[in-house]
Amino acid sequence: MPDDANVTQVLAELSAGDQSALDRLLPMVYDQLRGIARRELGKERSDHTLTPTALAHEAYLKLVHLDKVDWQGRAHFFAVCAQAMRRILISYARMKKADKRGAGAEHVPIENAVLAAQTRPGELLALDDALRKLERMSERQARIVECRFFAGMSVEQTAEALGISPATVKRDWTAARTWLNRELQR
Amino acid sequence: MNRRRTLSPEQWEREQQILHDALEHEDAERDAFVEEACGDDRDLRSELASLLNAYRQGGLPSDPDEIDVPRIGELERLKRALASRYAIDRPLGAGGTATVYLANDLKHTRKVAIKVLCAELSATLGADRLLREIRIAARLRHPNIVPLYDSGETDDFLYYVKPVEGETSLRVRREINREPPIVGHAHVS
Repeated sequence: MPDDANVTQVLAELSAGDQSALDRLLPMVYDQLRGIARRELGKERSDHTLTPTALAHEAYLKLVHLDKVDWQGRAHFFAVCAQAMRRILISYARMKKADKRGAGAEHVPIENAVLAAQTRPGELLALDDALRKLERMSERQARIVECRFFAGMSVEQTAEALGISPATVKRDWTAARTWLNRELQR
Repeated sequence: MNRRRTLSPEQWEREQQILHDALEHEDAERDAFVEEACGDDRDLRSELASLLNAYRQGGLPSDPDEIDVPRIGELERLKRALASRYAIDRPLGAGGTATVYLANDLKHTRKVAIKVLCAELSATLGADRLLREIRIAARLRHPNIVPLYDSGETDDFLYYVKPVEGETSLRVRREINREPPIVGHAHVS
């Protein structure tokens, strides 16, 4: 279990321009986030709607010394959280699908990645496959989908987290969503 | 199942450009535009047709509209806005419309919880709701209702201040997602 000082330190290094810190950050965030997510996913159909942002926020509060991290460090943290959320939800969906093999696979729009992992795991796994193809066509678009869909971030938050303009996020999001939508209709 | 060719980043870039240009046109003119933009490239034309079709059907994944992580930079702005009265320590949690921060009340040297409505929401309908909540809370005295210390509006932030101590802080955290307090058995002073 990483201690808070570690994550805070790594975020400071990232803000200072050390890109290798990003690779060290992911496992730290992943561990913490997985613990929180497992607890929340365990109580199925809880009284509140579980959002990825709420999970990421909780991880942030647990891991980061707020006084010592600037907004850039914070942005990096949430970008990494988005990637971690994707992995967590996909492995959860895999487990879930193995549980109830052969369950109906109707095509329903996905509103929320957490909800999809819980109720329509097959669909989320298909999305993950498609997203891996998209990644090879445009790495940036895959990151945007992670932030927007898997971490529930707004256009502005995504722009800040990835260091690009909101206009680029909007444009890429439209293209990526259209492409994914078509892939999943096959 | 129709097998599509795998696109290179450059090909995808080109398709997107045509897609975005096509979306600038009225729906009725789109097909004609695509026809012209793709020229003799039949693969490209069928790609674009299927993409536009997928665009029309919409569906997945939808926009995450809820803004429940405080905006990046919000903490810093809030610190500055409240600096004369409160020293913001850290967020206690965030809900759909508001974030609760732990802070020090500089005048009375005590810990307080400050509930801040998201800046975007303050600007629209949410402001009414928080103001209503503030007005109701200010009049209530009840063991299960956290009293209100202070409230206000500064630099686009709508906020109100409540005590925080031991068990109460847990309640404050739970309250993040709650609707305005219900006027039930409470005594209105």
